[in-house]
Amino acid sequence: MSMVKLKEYGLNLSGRPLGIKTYSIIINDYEAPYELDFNGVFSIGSSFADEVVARLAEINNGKIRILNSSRVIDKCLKNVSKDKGFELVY
Amino acid sequence: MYLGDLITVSEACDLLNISRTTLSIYRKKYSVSNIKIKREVKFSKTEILYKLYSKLNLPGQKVNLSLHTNTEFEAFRIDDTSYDLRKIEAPDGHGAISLLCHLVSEINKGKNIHLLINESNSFLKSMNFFGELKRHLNSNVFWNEDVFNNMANINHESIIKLPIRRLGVVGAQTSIVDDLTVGLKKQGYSNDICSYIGWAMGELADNSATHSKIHPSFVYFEQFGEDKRFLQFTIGDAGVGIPESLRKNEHYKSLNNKEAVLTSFKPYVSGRPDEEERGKGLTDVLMIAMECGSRLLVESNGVGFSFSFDSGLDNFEVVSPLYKDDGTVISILFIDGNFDSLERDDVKTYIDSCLEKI
Repeated sequence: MSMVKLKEYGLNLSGRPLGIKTYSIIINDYEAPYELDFNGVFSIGSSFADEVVARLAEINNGKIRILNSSRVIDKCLKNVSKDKGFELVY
Repeated sequence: MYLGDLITVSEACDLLNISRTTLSIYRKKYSVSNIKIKREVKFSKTEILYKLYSKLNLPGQKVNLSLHTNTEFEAFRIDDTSYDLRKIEAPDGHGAISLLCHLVSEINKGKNIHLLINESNSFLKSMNFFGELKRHLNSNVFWNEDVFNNMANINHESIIKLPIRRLGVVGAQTSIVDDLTVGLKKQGYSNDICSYIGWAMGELADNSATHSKIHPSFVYFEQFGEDKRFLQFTIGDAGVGIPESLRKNEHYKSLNNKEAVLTSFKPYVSGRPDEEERGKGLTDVLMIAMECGSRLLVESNGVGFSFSFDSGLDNFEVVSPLYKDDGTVISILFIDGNFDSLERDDVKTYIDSCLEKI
């Protein structure tokens, strides 16, 4: 299990291009399955979450563990998990 | 002297609304220089504005250029390409970025722009309004730089948290938004408000940088009021605008500008093909405004809407936009406090009700 500290990619994670870039770094640098640590991250946007969280969840067989996320981040993640059909595990 | 700054005797007379004889008298009295190009006498329009126009035309009644006022750029326009910025009072981010995008739009049409400024424009200067103009449009925009040398050095840092910055490349907004949210958190704002601001700003900055393409987009953030509890940011661009962008999708081709701007806030509505499953950013931004009891003003391609959710109110208004050119200017006024919890479906229901009102 690889724990990915998302703070390393920014404190406000938004935009599809940054998401695509971040996803590519993560799959090169870490081995599946993945869990995501949001410690220190202020926010995440839905297009970034589409490109990173949803795609990593797909590799993890449809679910992904989330650590240290705030209420606002959870709100966005919940919408993306509903859209893309994956499970968030806390 | 730059060629774009030069005007003929006849143009100078028209600008000042005086005869050639009077111009000749004033020229000597106020030491206005001239040059001859192919035997024709030409003046620097900047010098004419500064040395003559400003003396013949006092600023008079000031114009409040902000989110809360219904102003037109015409109120301080001198002619087709010149603006009397001395008339501007209390500009906020919405006013400054709307004006900046308007000037970009005018310059994109091939115009050379002249600005008449004085010491009263120190806040615009602190906002980096002139800095961004000069940085990107140097050869097409003119004002008297000497005025800045006489300006009192007023520190506006307590209001301006993020001076106007260009969002040039898609993805480049990250460091700007990160620096801002870290600063707000250090200042004592709640984690929730920092997160909401980061989220909304990130979505809008990404949209703006994506849709403005070759044209610059700008961002600005300020705080004001007692205890600095009001936080306002503006993002603007002189790109294609929301309606044009949305109508690229066959489903929305027949929408007029008003319908298109409002519809763009509904979930899963995008100018991109449906199979790409885009169109969540603006929905999330409006949801954030609703949850935070904020005021959101959107102006795009000549239409404007104001959404106010403060004090539990729901005031939707069609407004006369300050920014009337192609492109989009969006401002959100946040108040740090308690937050509701809503869903994207709530935004859809709300926008449907707004569409019935237009």
